[in-house]
Parts: sequence; C-alpha cells; structure tokens
Amino acid sequence: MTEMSVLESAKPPPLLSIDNLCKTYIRGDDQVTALINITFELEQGCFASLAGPSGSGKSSLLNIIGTLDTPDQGSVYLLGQPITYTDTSFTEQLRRTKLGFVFQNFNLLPLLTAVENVELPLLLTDLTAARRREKACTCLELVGLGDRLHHFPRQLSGGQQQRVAVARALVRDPKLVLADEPTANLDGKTAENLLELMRSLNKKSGVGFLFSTHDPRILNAAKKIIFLHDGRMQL
Amino acid sequence: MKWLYLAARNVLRHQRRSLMAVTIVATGTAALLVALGYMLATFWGLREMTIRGELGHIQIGAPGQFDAVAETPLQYGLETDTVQKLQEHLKEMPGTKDVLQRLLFEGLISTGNTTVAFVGQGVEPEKEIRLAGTSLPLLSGTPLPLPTHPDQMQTLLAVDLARSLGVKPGDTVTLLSTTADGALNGIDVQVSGIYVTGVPEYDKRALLIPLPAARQLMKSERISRLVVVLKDTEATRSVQAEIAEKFSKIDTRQWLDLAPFYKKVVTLYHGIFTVMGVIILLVVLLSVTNTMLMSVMERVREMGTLMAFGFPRNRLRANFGLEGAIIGGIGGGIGLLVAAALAYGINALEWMMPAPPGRTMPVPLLIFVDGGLYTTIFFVMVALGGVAAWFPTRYIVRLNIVEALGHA
Repeated sequence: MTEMSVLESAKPPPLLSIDNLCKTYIRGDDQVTALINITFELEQGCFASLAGPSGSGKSSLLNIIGTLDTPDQGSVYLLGQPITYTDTSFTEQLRRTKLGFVFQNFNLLPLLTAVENVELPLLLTDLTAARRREKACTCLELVGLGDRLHHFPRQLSGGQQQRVAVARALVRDPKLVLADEPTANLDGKTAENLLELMRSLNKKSGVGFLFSTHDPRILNAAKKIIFLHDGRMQL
Repeated sequence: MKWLYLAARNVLRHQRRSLMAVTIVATGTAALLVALGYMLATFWGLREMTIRGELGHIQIGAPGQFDAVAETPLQYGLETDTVQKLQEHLKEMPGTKDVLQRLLFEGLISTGNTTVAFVGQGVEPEKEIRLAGTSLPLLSGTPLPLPTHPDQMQTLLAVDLARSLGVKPGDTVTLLSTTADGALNGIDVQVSGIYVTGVPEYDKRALLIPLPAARQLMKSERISRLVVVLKDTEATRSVQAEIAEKFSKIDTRQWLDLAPFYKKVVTLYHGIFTVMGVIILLVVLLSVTNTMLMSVMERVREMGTLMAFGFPRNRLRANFGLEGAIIGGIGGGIGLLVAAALAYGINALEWMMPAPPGRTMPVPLLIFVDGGLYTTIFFVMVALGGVAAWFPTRYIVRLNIVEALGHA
C-alpha cells in the first residue's frame, strides 16, 4: 500500500455526499422538475448553504437530504452510509440520531414550554426524565435562553423562538443540522445574532450546518455555497 | 408516563372542546349505568319474586313428576320414606336453608251456592311464610294454622277466587277433589285468610291448605314435590347436581327451568337494553371521534414537526389514542359518580313502578349499583375513547411530512 493510499483510507468520510440526485413532482397533469443531477459533497463540521431564487429547488433538496422527501433518482450518503429512503424505520432513526431541523416558522409546540420543546426529541430515548431535563436546559443555556426555560412560545420573541428551535435541533447531538430559511421571519439584528449563534455552535461542537437561504448574511458566513437555479447546480 | 402526561396536556389544550366531549361521555356513561342498574334490579326482583312467591330454588319429584301426564293424582308423588331420606340429607347440606313439602291437587270449591274450579296446594305454613316473606301478602284474615294447631281444616284463598265465591275469612267452603285412588272426596274448610299471588291467573284459581288437610282430601301420604330453598341463589346449579348424584330415583328441576316467564322477560329486556346500550355507545364514539378529528386536523403541522424529529407515525397515533382514552376515562369516571348518586337517590325515594306484565302487584323502582358493572363500563369508556381516536388518526399514516410542515 502506498503512502498516499494509507492517507486516503484514514481520511474521515464526508458528512454528506450527493450523487446525481433528481426529483420531479407531479401536480395534476403537470410535471415539475425540481432537481436535476445534483452532485456535491460536504465535509464534517461544514457551515454550508444552498442558495438560489425561489423555486430553484433549495427546499426540495434540503427535504431530501433530511429524508422528509424521497428522490426519484440518485444517491445520498450520510457519513459514508447510503440512505435507504424506502426503509421508513431507518429514515426515522436517522432523523432521530444524526439530523437536526430548524424551520422557517420555528414550529415550536405552543402547548409546551421552551425547555419542554427542547426536551421533545429526547422522549424517544431511554434517558431518565431528570437527564432529559438536564440536557434540554444545557442546550437552552447554550443558545442564551437559560432564563427563559419555562416560557411558552407565545411569551418569546421571534428570535428567541428560533433559538429554542436551534436548541431543539441540537439536543440529540446530530451530525448535521438542516435549516430551511431560518432567518426569513426575523428582523435584521435578530437574524445576525442567530447567525452568530449558529456559527459559534458550529465551531464549538463541530456540528455541520446546511442552510437553505437567500439571506446574504448567511451566504457571506457560509464556508461553502451550492447555487441552484431551476433545479440545476450552478458552479 | 411521559406520553400520558403529554396526552393530558393536549387534552387540556382546548378545554371547552374537551369539556364538551367529557360531558357527552359522562352523560352516556351515567345513562348506561342507570339503565343497566335498573335492568339488574328488575332481573333480581323478578327472580326473587319467582323463587319466593312460588318455586323455591330447586324442586324434587319422582321421575315423571315434571314431564309426564299423570293418569291419577299423585301417580308421580314421592313416597314418605323417600321424602324422609331426602329431607335428612338436604338438612345436612351447608347451602340448604329450608325444605318444604307440597302436595298439589285440583278440584272444585263450593259455598253451596257457587262452585268454581281451583288449583290447590297442601303446604307447611310456617316454612311457606319463611320462604315467601312479603311476596304473597295477606289482604285479610290470618295465615294458615301451624301444625300444632288443633284445627288444620283451614284455607287461604287467592283474592279473585274469594271474590268469585263471595267469601270472607271465617266462612266455610267445601273442597272436592279426586283422591290418589281415583275416588271422589270432599272436605269442609274454613277460610282463614285471603292473599294475593301477584299473577292474575293464580289469583283466580289458587288456594292453600295445611298439608294434613290436603292428605285427608287426597287420601294419601305421598306428596307431589319437595321444594328446596337455598341460602344463595348462585349455588342452585351445584346443589341440584349434588342431589341428583346422591339420589337416583328422583327428578329435579331448578327454578329457572320452571319459570318460562322469567326467561322471556330476561330475553326481552336484554334485547331492549342492548339496542339502547349500542345507541349510547355510538353517540359517545361519534362525539369523541369528532373531538379527535378536530384535534388531528388542527395539529397537522405539529405532527409534521414531530415526524421530522423521527417520531414514528404509530407513536403519534398512539398518543392521540391516549388523548381519546383520557377523555373516555374522565367522562367515564364522572359518569360513574353521577350514576351512583342517581341510583342511591332514586332508591332512597322508594318510588313504586306499575306491575310488570303478567303480574298484579306494583314493584319498587330499584337501581342497582354494581361494582363489577361500574368497573366494566369505566374501562369500556376508556377503550371507546382510544378507539374513537383510531379512525381520525388514519390520516396520519398517509401524511406527507413536507406537506404537513407547510400546513397552515
């Protein structure tokens, strides 16, 4: 074995590897091609963004990476492991353990307090109630909401709600957080703060972030940007 | 526990809607329990009336007594020595309360001016009074004399029979019947009292006389049947089996075999209450289903979020099921309390109901509070709540996560 091949074999697998991904939606009699031959890789601990105008396929791609939707063609690998989209229990397990989600509309459960919302993904683990609460509190402190643990979403500002959503995405220590337009519903200053928070979390914990956005602040902060237009990658 | 807690929080989310569903479940539960309590009390009352008013728990006769048509009176009667052996054995049995001898006969009763047909029984008065309690009330006069009384030639006439003869206590009537040998015989008896059987046909024809008087009329030492009274009605079948095993040359019947009327009433009531119960359960089911459907439809995005975090669809369905079960449980629990309060209240008022079909005496309005029944209905309501959530949550199985996340 050559020195080069030894080095190559010791290299960690990419966080995300997408190969020739295609997706077409059928709406009535119409066919809408959302993604065409998408191929790229993201390294572990990345801070990357999908950019492009509305309807370019950003959200579709993010949904497929997050196993919320299925591709028509192509493969997606997470940490070198192929994602089997037809195996529901596998994709559920993947979303529980390796992926985190931050949504444009925060999607917090109004019934639950901030700490209970963050604790929610931990309900599917074997952790004790005390340990779950401890982890949720730690995550909320990490996003600067240690003093808002027992506030309901309606009692929090938009920025604070999105921070709770970030804490919820991180609570199970995922490898990749998928954030769909996370700053779209936030004012400029709040959006900047949130972006700064996610960047610092990325640096501290090494968790990868992949955004779908057209917010220039995120695009500026991203270490890698994948441009999409009409479902195709643009170099 | 964590899921139950989450489900309870969701139930409390829309308090007014949940309250409405709980109220309907509670009302249904209370209605069902009061109706079933009334049914059980009716069965119990009718059973006791049947046992105490006439049949006892078990009747014993010679083979042929219950099925064959006798050519002569007492053809299928029990001999004295058999009766003695049976009585000795039955007294030893722990479940036996009393053993009564009865001699059945029929004939004509006459005042001299009026003669009508009768159906008579020679009885042991003291034991019959113990058995009947208040089931065969005396309208006038005195009960039949005890065996120690010097004058055994007395009779109790059923109310309509006495009326048709125009007699009252103290009057003398003549009883004419065919003896065990087939000859005609008559005795004069004094009317000691007038009683009510509760059954119109018996009220027109029945009379009772002391056993010695009946033996004198029938000119036989045989009796027709032994009537066994038990301490516990539930033991009827086992005691009957034990008697049949011990004595081979006899025939036995339990009260249920001799009470076709009771069976008909039970069948009729079962039919009525089954239809009513199904309707009530259906109303409860639809109400909780409606509540759960609204809950599912307004939480579509929430479900999308949970599924995005890896919650299995069946887990979500199960949680909606738990919410339904909680509504069923709370409603059921309140319903139990309301039903028990209603039952105790109505029982305390001691209202009387009109005489049931085939009877002449009014019966008290009773509603039973049965622990087993209440427990069963409570769990039925909990299960019904869970099942009610099952149908609306079929939607979740087909739910597309991306569409759910974009749901308004």
